[in-house]
Amino acid sequence: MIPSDLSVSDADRQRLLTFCQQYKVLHVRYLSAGVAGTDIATRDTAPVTRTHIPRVVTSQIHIDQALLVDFARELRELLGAQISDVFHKVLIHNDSGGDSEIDLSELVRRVITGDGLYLSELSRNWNSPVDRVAFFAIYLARPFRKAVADEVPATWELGYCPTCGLWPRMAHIDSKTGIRRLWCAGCETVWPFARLVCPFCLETEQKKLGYLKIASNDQYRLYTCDTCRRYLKTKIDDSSLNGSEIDFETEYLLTTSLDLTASFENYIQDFIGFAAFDLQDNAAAQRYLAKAKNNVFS
Amino acid sequence: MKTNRRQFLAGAGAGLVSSVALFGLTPQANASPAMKLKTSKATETTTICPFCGVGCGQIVSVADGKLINLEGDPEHPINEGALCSKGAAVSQLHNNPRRLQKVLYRAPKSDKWEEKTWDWAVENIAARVKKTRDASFRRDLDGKIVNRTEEIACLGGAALDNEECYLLTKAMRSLGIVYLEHQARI
Repeated sequence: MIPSDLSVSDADRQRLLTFCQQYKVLHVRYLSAGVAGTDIATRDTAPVTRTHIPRVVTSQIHIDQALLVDFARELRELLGAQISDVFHKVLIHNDSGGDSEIDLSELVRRVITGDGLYLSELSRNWNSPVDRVAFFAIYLARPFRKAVADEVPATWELGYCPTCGLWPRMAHIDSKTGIRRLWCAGCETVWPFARLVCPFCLETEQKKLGYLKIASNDQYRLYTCDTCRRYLKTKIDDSSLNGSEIDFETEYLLTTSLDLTASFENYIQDFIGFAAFDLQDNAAAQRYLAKAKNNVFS
Repeated sequence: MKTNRRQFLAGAGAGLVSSVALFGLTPQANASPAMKLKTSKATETTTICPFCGVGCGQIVSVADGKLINLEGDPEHPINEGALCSKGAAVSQLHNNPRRLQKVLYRAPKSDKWEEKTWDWAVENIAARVKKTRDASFRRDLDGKIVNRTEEIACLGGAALDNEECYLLTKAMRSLGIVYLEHQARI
């Protein structure tokens, strides 16, 4: 149970919880119906742990266009009903004609390759805040990302998601074992990561790392890096006592005060639409990997 | 004008996604400073447990100069995050009003402890070791070369690990000390 002082109002909290529950049902239904699939034959067989290229980049993803349009409409209705009626207006303009004005396949392909600039163009066209557009896009693309999220490499030592290349949005530290796991909002992949390394810039100098301790609650921390000024919301608890896996999505969405607190302390998060491993900005990815060779690779 | 990735990140304020953006709560807009939670900045530092020679790794959290959390280091190859009951209670060594933090010296036949500096302690220990060694050093015994002193002994501590024991033994043998013992109990 997330404490109310970390979250939004009770009404908004309930709407978000309802959204999370209903989205899971919707997402599983369309994934099992075949809205997304991967072509195993054309998949790059080089192990992701050797290339460090997220699996989504090297996979051929099939998109069932008819199912995708249905999925987008249902997602729009869900977001419109539970989150904001803004979503009713911006997603599929030409509803009466049966076809969307937006090429949804193109949107999905742009999103899963981390083309955040495309989302910013859409936000201008839709006259809607880019964060809301990104929110829709992330949930629209999730079945397609999950289609390639078949397994997490056992030795993944990097800060971005091995499946889709996004930066982690939430973390969990098991208070019994001390192991930290990072969670990707794009595909729900969870992977272990070193405790005293910044996942965003691989800083290892302990004086530059740390966390903001929440005075009112011992179960949450904001892990920060003073080199890149990024933060990571982190839940601390004993997994063996809970008996069930932590619900990262609910934790992430409902701990709003943590995000605000981080921003007041001048820590930021990258725009969720950008992939960490961006083929169009390959130099940044190569610099990151070069640093990984010095700092984290065992 | 077409925006590139860097320009987008620099000007958008689009880093605040999550539910904050959904509800229109942005620091630039209508978020109230009252919504900021009270926090304190803590740093995490790796260290080694001082209790025994196993050398378990620990992560120590310090905020405002005070130790606020201590746990096993999950990445340490020896203990992989686990700690024994004494190791888990190491914070009591730090947060303890009875902890000695300065050198105390009691002179021979004195009934009082005197506060001394570390420099004073090291210099006096070195001087006394040299004095005793010089006075008692034997180069030979029964016609055989021995190069030793029998009037100094060394007792290693239980908290010393392999490498520290190695260095201590080397240092003592270089002085000619032959009575070497350890205290292996935890």
